Amino acid sequence: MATATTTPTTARGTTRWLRRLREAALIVALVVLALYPPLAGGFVPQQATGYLIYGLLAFSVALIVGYARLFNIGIGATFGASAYAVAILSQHGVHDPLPLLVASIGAGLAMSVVFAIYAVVASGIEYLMLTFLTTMAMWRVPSLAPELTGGDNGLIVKGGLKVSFGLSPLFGTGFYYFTLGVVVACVLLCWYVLASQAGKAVRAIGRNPQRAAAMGYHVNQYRVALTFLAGFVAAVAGWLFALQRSFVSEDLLGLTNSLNGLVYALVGGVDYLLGPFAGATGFRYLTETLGRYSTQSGLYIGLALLVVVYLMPDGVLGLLPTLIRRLSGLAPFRGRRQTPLYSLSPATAREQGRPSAEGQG
Amino acid sequence: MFEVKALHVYYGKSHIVQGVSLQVGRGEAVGLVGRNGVGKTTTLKAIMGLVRRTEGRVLLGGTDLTRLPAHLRARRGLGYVPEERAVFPAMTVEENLRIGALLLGNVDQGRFLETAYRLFPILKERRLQPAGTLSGGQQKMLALARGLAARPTLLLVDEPSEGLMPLNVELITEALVQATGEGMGVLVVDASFDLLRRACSRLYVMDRGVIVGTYRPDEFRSPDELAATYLGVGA
Amino acid sequence: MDQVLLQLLNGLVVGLSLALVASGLALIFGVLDIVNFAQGDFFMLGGYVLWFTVDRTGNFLLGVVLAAVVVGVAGGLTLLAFLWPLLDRPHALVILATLGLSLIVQQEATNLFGGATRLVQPPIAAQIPLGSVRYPVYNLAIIAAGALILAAGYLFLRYAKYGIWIRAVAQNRSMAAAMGVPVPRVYALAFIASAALAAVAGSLLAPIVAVYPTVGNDVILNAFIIVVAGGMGNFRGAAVVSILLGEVQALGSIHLRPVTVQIIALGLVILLLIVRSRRQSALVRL
Repeated sequence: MATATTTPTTARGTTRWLRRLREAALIVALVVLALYPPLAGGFVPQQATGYLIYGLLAFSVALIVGYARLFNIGIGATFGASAYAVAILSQHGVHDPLPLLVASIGAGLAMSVVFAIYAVVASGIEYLMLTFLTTMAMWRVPSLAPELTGGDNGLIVKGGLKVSFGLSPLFGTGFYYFTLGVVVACVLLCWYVLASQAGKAVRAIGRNPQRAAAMGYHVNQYRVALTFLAGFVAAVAGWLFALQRSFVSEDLLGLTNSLNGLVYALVGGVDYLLGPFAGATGFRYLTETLGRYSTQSGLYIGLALLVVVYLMPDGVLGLLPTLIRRLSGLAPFRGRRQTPLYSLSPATAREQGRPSAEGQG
Repeated sequence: MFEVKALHVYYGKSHIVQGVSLQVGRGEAVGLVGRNGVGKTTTLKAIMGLVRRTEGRVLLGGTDLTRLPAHLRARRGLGYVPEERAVFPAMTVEENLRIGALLLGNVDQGRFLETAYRLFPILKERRLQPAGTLSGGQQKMLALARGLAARPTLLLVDEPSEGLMPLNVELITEALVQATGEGMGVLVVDASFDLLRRACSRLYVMDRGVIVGTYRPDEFRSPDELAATYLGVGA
Repeated sequence: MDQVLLQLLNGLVVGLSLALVASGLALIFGVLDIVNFAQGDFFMLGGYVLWFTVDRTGNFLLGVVLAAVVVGVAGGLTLLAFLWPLLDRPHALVILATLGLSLIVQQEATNLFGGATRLVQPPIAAQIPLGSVRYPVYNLAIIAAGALILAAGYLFLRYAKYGIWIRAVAQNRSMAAAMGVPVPRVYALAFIASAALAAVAGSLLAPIVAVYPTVGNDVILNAFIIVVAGGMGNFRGAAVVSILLGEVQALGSIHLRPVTVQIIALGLVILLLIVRSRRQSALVRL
């Protein structure tokens, strides 16, 4: 067991203790997730399924925004595209779960191609605006072809229980365990990738692209790869969503949903595996129990954003370790992160004299 | 006339300037020399008030500037010509100069422009060109002209001769000499031996965030001798 | 042919009011690198101030002036208060903050005013014959007012002392400060002007688009498209692109559904942005 001894080893001791704490937390969380909802009964498994799915969406946002530092506010487009793929195909008689899965992942990855292009040609605010415009455009797309997509009425997923491998999303715990399994698998996959050399490269690129490029990393390749990984995760989340709700609507594709993912990830803490899930669960639970979710959602999301921005740039899960570190003297109370999480490079570009002041004011 | 006391500057976790004190008298040009990265530019920026985390005091003509933000220091008679990105790129040369004149309130802008053009005639040639299209050297001359024409009490200049042709280095050296002749104080960071010897009455040598020595330029017979003072220190 | 003329004029109406909103955005972006997601809400609040004033006093012009002043000052200072602590911090936080602010403002507007759409009568009901159609004089008044305000804004930026200061801060903040430009005051002015521009647009357009809590959303989308397409800090570019977009959407609506036109417009801007980014990729950008 790590013990915090006196001075020179205190720092190391505390850090090791933090890491043990983190590992323990992950295990505890897994156990809780596996046991609590089924035991609690009632609607808890269904609620928990919803939290997991949104948590997965938030997780994909955390990957691309937190890890690769690409400020993407359009992941909803990927999520929605994948969900719509399920719905549309199911309307045309495709009810086998595997083809639906493949199609929905495919749709999500296709959407990710667009984001990958943006990652290569733009950065910073331009990238942000591109993703913003894209999610707004995608939001309108269903209205282009209402016969196919249901327009602004949305679309039902047909095929009954067949599409979800025979598991009912409405009753029992089967679907919950199924979702949990898929989510854990995705998280493990990502964790494995991120822990690899490639993952470390992505993080280095996110922190300081110029230095990474100078060290020989192919910045664009890594960014594209991570965009697809995040897109894959978002697509899985969209697929699960379609299976659970059996209904898709254009709001899934738009800004609000993308922002949901972002807010959950930020509130929970993008640096932690559990962060997005904690954020999604906590936030949605809060808004649902406050009872007026459907009418006041804007207010809550807005407030959450402000709280995160001013008080908890590292998210809720970031508070505890930071507090521990501050109390043990490892981090100054007023200190900022070493590298800003959300830096947008055109600001830096301007400092470097890039002519971005086009015309006069 | 101008004094800096125990200046400390912090960037993130780095303690860049670690207790610098210096003085500049009326009509005196003082040089600040040293290797790259010892904190000369940071010192100037901090004196101007462009850096957040500083300690120490800055006094100009008896006024304590320490608590003032940069734009108020400018209005109290402190001028600044940075090493790079000194001009407003999308504005014309003339507009750049006019902004300098605006600082002086209701002064005759025509006179201001005249002074600047007299110092560096090339600027007059290009007065309607956007400043961003000038060459690097011309931009530096524009920035210097603008700084000088405002007749500050003390002008801080960062590497004015860098990248300039010898002819133009002479021009700016003369401009500095003229300015001090009229009573302006100058604190200049530069590496040009000719400029330092001609314009400055004293030199501060800086190393690793502190002043390590004061010399008179005529103590050195060659650039190498001067360089030896700061290359040899702490090597 | 008359359809075309009609849409041409409509395009100008929409385009100019968009230009007001977008130029406000461009102003802040140029000065502060700030993308203000709450800009559409200033538009919305301008409409509400107008409606309120007309309801109580019947004076339309007063409504417009009040919209500019009240929303301008209140909105500008609110933005300043919220964004001041974030100015040295990474820009994404600023974006998130304005997003949060926008969501809250819209929600509270719904709570306060109710979701019902408020209608405002145009102050001039007359119509003027153009070709074989009769075009509302009020729309022409909007075109004139919009053009006037934009022209005044442009001149202000070019020649007025504060206008020059705004441009200086936009191009080189630290140098501007070192030259005695009162940077905090310039920020405040930019925020207030930007909010006021949006509010004026909202009040002028109120008789045409009506007033309801989410009216700003469509506007903000178009405004962002414009600011992005015009070059982020570019006041004049924003004005030009606004008019273009207004015309494209209006003329496009003759044969195409609005949704189609919107997506086409979005697609074009995305392409434009990509092309422009690629061209600049030769420079320092990474």
